[in-house]
Amino acid sequence: MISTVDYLLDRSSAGLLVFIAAAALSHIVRLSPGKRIAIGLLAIVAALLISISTRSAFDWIVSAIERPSAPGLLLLVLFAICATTGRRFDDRREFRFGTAMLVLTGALLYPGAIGFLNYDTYILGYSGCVLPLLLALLLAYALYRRCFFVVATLNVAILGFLLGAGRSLNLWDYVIDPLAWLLAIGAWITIAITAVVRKRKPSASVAA
Amino acid sequence: MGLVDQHTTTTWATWAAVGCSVVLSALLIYKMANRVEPWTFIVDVPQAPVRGDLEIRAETITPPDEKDFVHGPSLIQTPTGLLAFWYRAVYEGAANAEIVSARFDGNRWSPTAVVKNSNTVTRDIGLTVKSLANPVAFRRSENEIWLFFAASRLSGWATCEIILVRSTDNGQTWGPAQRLYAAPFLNMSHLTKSLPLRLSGDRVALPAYHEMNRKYPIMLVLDSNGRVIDKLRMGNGGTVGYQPAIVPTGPTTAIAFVRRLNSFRPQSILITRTTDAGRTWTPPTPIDLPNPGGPIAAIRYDDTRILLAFNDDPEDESNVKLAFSNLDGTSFRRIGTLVEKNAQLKGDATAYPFLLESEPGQFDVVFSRPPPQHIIDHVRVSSAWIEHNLERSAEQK
Repeated sequence: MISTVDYLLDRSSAGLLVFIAAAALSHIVRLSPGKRIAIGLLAIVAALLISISTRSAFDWIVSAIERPSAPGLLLLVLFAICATTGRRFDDRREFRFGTAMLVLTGALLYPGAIGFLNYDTYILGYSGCVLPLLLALLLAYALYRRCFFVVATLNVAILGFLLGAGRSLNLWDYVIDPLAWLLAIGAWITIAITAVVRKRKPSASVAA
Repeated sequence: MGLVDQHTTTTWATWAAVGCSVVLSALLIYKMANRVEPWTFIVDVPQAPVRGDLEIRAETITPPDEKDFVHGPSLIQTPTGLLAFWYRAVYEGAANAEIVSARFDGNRWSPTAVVKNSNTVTRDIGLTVKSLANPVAFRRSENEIWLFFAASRLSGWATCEIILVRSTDNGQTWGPAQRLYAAPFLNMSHLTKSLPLRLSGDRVALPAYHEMNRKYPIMLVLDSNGRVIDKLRMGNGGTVGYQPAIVPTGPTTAIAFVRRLNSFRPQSILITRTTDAGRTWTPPTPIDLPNPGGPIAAIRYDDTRILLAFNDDPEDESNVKLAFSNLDGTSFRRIGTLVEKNAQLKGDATAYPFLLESEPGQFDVVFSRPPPQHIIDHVRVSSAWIEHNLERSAEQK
């Protein structure tokens, strides 16, 4: 049987994702932060109660997206704060750096893991110095840029791996997860769209 | 004064972050540098004395009233006889599947017993599982059996991960299911089929295959606790084949017989070789035995030969035959036919053979007969039958 911590961790991604989706939608219709939180929580309850085939919608999501890595959990929490308070992080340097690193890391890992490439970079997470050295370089650069949230999250991920806190014995599983990768890609799409819109606005006002 | 305090705190926080990062990075590099110690294959060379009957003995394992889809059988020897496993569901990949077992005391097969079903696996691992498939058992110690099987979390075999359950009383009772972590993308998509192997350092090699997007064979290396410590893609990548049956031929050498993809031509069994205990494998190449796109079972027969159970037909799983291969996988000799499908019965097939030497000179093969048959069959032959048929086939040539 799995422990309570494992049980909750397995459901944290799904719970936060449902919460973020519902709170973000209620943000569009300009509800207050309190109401967004309530709607986010109600969405989790609804996902638990709505049955699809033999299991609840929530169970489907849990089965589909697994538990988060340390950076993935931080990103989900940031998105939850963003969805409930309306606060934007995408103009912050550290957010951009962290999500850019997630996008790059995922691009390095997942194509091989899904079978698109003949070489599977996942094996670098079992042994050898390549991945630890890359992480050390990333940490050094994050320190140089004073991105302390990124540093703290990577340190938590490394500590979790060193202590064998997760189920996997592969370092990759502690530093990235597919949901974090997809959210980071989404964040960068948003950043790109915002940049394009901002560029167009001055020219539009000049034309007016 | 406030500014000075803030500056001091920031400096301390910076140095704390630097210190933590340096220490953790150093520990990480140290741990990863020599984490997976080199391993070698543990090679069991059976004696295979020429003994036993010249008759084939055949039984049906599944009960006569079986209506479900049954498939993917495998065997293990226990002190009280054979123990067979297979999976059962309303249809292939259906929800609420079961891993079932039956015992053979030498005379008859017992009624089936449920080892695990989708619900119990769901309860054990805390994630909802849809279907189960392809159980393979491994003798861990005198009384301990590890049973690996595939479990699909969503829909389709591509969403499978590998589950391990253990028995410490030779299959009387089974412990909770444990997930094998072997992939970064939602721990998908790996499945089992063939016999696991023993490695030095109390480790286990589990032949498996990747299903999502591209099918290819892999070898998982497990530690003594059944956790994945390495994963090796067999055959230099590419879209080639799957369901490898690995046979060690020396401490660092082995060959693996690989099921071809349906689209692969020629319609032959594929073979891949390693000379570094499985760290690298040659690209799979076709051999001079046909393959309809079904799995191959292979075990070491004696000090110079490997025994294969396979479908000797490029199109259909129309029979199960035995053949010998030399240890290089360069020479093959057919021995004889164990079973042929009922040509009168539409849809009949003899699929997924699994081969075991249950006692010296005694060989057992199980295979499935998919709907409309709903059957798992068992065939037992002796080394005397094998040698006799080998002579006959040589004479016929």
